[in-house]
Amino acid sequence: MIDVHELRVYFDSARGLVKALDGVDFHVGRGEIVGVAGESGCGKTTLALAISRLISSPGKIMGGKIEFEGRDIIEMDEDEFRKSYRWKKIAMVFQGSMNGFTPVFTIGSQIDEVLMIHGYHGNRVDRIAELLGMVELEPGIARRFPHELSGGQKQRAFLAMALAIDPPFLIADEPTTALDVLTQSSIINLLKTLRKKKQISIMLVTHDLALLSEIVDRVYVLYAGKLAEVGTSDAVFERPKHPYTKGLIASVPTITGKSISGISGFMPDLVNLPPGCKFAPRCPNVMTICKNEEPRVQRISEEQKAACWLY
Amino acid sequence: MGYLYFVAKRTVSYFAALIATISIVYIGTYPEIQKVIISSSNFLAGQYQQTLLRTSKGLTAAQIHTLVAGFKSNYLSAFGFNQPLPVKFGLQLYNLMTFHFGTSFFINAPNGSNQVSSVIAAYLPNTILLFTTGTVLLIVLGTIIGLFAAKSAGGILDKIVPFVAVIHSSLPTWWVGFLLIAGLAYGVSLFPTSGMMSIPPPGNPLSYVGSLLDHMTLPLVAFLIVNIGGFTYVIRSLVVSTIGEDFVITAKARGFSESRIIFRHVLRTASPAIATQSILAVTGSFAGGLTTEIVFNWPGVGLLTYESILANDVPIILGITFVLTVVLLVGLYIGDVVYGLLDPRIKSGG
Amino acid sequence: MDSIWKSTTRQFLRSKSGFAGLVMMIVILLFTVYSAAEVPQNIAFKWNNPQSWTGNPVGAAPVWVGVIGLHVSPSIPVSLKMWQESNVSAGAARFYEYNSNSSFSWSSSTTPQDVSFLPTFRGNAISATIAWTKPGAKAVDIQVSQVQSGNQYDANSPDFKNAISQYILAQTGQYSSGLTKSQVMSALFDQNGKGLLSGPVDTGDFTVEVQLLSTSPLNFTSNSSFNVIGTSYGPMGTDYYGRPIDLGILAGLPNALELGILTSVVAVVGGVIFGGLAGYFGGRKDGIMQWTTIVFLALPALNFLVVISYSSSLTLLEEGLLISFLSWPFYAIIARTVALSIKSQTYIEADRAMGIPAYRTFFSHFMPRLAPVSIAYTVLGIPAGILLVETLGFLGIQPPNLITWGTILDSAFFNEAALYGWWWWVLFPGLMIVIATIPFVLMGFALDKIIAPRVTNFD
Repeated sequence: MIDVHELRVYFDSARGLVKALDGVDFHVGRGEIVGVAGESGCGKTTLALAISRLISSPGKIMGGKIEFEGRDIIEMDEDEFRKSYRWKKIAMVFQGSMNGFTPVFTIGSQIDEVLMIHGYHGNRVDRIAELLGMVELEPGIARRFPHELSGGQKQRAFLAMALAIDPPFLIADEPTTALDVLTQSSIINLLKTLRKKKQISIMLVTHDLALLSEIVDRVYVLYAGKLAEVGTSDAVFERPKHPYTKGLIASVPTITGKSISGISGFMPDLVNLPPGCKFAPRCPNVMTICKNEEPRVQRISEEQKAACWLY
Repeated sequence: MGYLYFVAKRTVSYFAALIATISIVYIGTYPEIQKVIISSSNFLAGQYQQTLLRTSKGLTAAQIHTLVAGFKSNYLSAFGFNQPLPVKFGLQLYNLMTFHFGTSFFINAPNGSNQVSSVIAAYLPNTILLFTTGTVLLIVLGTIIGLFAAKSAGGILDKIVPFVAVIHSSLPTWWVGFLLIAGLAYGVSLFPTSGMMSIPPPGNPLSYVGSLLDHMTLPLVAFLIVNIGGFTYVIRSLVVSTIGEDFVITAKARGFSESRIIFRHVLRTASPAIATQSILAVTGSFAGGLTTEIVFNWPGVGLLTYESILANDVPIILGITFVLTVVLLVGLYIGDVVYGLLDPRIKSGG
Repeated sequence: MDSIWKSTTRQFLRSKSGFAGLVMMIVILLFTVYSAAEVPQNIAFKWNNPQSWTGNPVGAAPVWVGVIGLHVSPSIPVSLKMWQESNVSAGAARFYEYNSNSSFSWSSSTTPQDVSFLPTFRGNAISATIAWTKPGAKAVDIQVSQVQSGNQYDANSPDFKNAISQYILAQTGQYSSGLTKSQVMSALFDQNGKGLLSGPVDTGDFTVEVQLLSTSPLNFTSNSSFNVIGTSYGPMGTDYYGRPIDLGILAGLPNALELGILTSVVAVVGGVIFGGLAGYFGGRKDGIMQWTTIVFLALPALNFLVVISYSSSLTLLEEGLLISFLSWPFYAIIARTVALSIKSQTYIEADRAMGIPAYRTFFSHFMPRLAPVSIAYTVLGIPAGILLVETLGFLGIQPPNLITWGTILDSAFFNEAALYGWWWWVLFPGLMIVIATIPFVLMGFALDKIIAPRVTNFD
């Protein structure tokens, strides 16, 4: 469905060149739910924005290819991309804290607008009610303004708007952050249902590993703009290979209250990256070669790859 | 229903503000007001005396004198003189609110009346015509230019706007007016040099309007030149910051065209703030509008103020001050009500 | 918090407009200091007193206008210094004669405006005889009877006119009754011959010999003068009363700046605190404060000032405070909007939850965020303050002891400067208003751009 090769996204900031993504490969197949995990600043949101061509100055896609259903969408003319791909083929749900809705129009009118612009042929009023029902919101929400909704309601309403014209590919960036656990699970269930019923491919970006483990088929772990590890959900969560992945998993608190450990140190400054493996300064298994040379992504098994000199 | 409630609340609030503001002006100008009342009473008493002398033959000088004195003291009582202070305040304020400003010292209305309210009433419409047209043009043009400048963030238009705004903010209106007259009226006889209407006014309505527009052009140009820079810059900054908000990114993701995003989503979202800025621009440009009238000899309230200053005609100056207060408050009121119309957060009582 | 100021300053200095504005402001400040030093303290009194300016050309253009092709004549001061005493006897009476002479060279082809004879001596003199010599040929003797020390005798004086009309008769054969000043001047400066009065101006060395006659000794404590008053004077010309415009500009400079800065600072600080508090409080308090703001916003500032200046004359300080009093609502509205957006940040609630009293939150969180906005607006408000002050001057309602560029322009308007074509009277004061406001506008815009929040787009 979507194939990303060697994607490089750099930001030209006042302090220097920020390498938000530095040669990342990514792939989502039809009907797959793929997770992208990592700490803040690792590049996962950048990846999501790049795929939806929402990277804007001072950021720029500096290299690589993004193929959607076989076509390179980086090189595509914006007009064509807008008319054929945006929201029709690629829809995105943004981080919960964002004000995704235009504040001066009602929820209903905004969903209606999306339907109208993209040439929906059915009865729009019915469709709006249907969409709201899908995300378990009462139809009266359509007449409300965004500021009248709670965070959870806004998030769900936005999801409804994202699904309005049945996109085959959905990007969800932190869809459940700042929501209560019950709302979280209902949204997760909804995503699962969508995949089952409509074969929607979903790219789920979050730092919440527990969330990912529930739903994704495969997961990518990013660190400092580069891929650390990728594999099937089982493989990565139960048999993590990259020290960073191991550290992440160990930091997740469980309900039974076992002690958690963190990863010492902080993510490196993306302007002044250390040579060699980016994780080396914090790695408990660091070797001499790690500090000098960058590890390439090594295939560890049928279902797993990691970028680490241990392998 | 939230909106009607909002409007009702606002109406009460503004009415209270009206009383408060007028009271402040009143207190500030209290001594002058007393003098005006006294001089009005003298004038009217004198008129009354003339009338008596002419019409009633059978009265003695002493009788006439008593009648006139009685007239005068009645007049003064109506304005609260010789009454306890609170009553005095109350009566005078009441008269002010009902536009009883007394008689002027020197300046008369075209119809001969020297009631201050009549004089002002003769000049006010001209000011409203010029100033309102100018303000509407200012807001419309400023918003359009500011919008386009923000849209092309960093582009040529965007670079010009601050530069022009800098120059504009430093220009005194009347100086610009001077220069315009010298250049476009005296130098090149493109436009009339002053006044509102050619003399004598043309008979048929079409040429009348034509002459009016002809005379309005230079003052409007001067007004716009001076005020548009700052306003456009503010609008541009506003729109730029609105564009930086999240929903604009999601709008792009939703597949909306750039013009739809800018002219529907951004504009609509920024419109309450634009409305606020418009109100501020209006109140801010008022003084400039008055001086424009002076330079262009436009027969409006500003010119009247100037002539009253020259002639030391205090009653008219006072009258204008109060009338302007009312006009400004009405303007602010309209602005506030429109703001509520544009911002849904107000409508729903939030 | 310090790094914010440092980085703001750095950015400010790097920005073109900010730097340019700063440089301009420093130049203006230097001129203000110069003005304070050079302009005499009683300038306002002198300015309003036409007597102080006798001896200056009236309506004179700036001296440099030759550059743009206008023909003017220079003003040349001619000093009569050394007086030679000689005694003359005529019969029993004893007379004292005092002679002094001086010469000057004239090269302009434009006739000067006037000559001004100002004798200064102690004692009683009977008469003064002025022997006027044109280049190459003696021209005319002018006798001034009843000459008094300290009186100015110019081309308008009857003595001059008498002597000159006879001179004209002798030269051209024409008698004119009722000579004008310019005819007298033409006679004095045109080439001799039939063409006197209509011919070209004589160029070369002119000589003035003055002889004072008296019956008692005279004392000369200071110089007398016989000035040639041209049609140009000073870098900016003179007005209807002969007042040098450049002096007026200099005199008005400190006033404009003082009032502009004072009103702006007071209005902005007051307005920002008020508006900031209103946004911070929210709820009912906010509602009341907003209402108050509207009440004051609706006051027609200009008219209000006019009326108040009628009932009581204001000092500079009072006027400044009053203007601030009428301007603060503008800034209160802006500050409130900013405060509301600051309030939406959740750490305010966190503070409250921790039990920190409201006013401390206000000062530790709000004020630092409001400060940059206030500074930008203070700087932008200065032009408004200057403009308002000058407008008041233009309308003629400044206290009489105050010279501002507005009052100069008022005088220009009143005395029909445009009609006479004395463009320098109108151009320079107006230009100064613009020049004085530009640096602040430049700096204000630079600050505003730096302070406007930026949107980061990472991760």
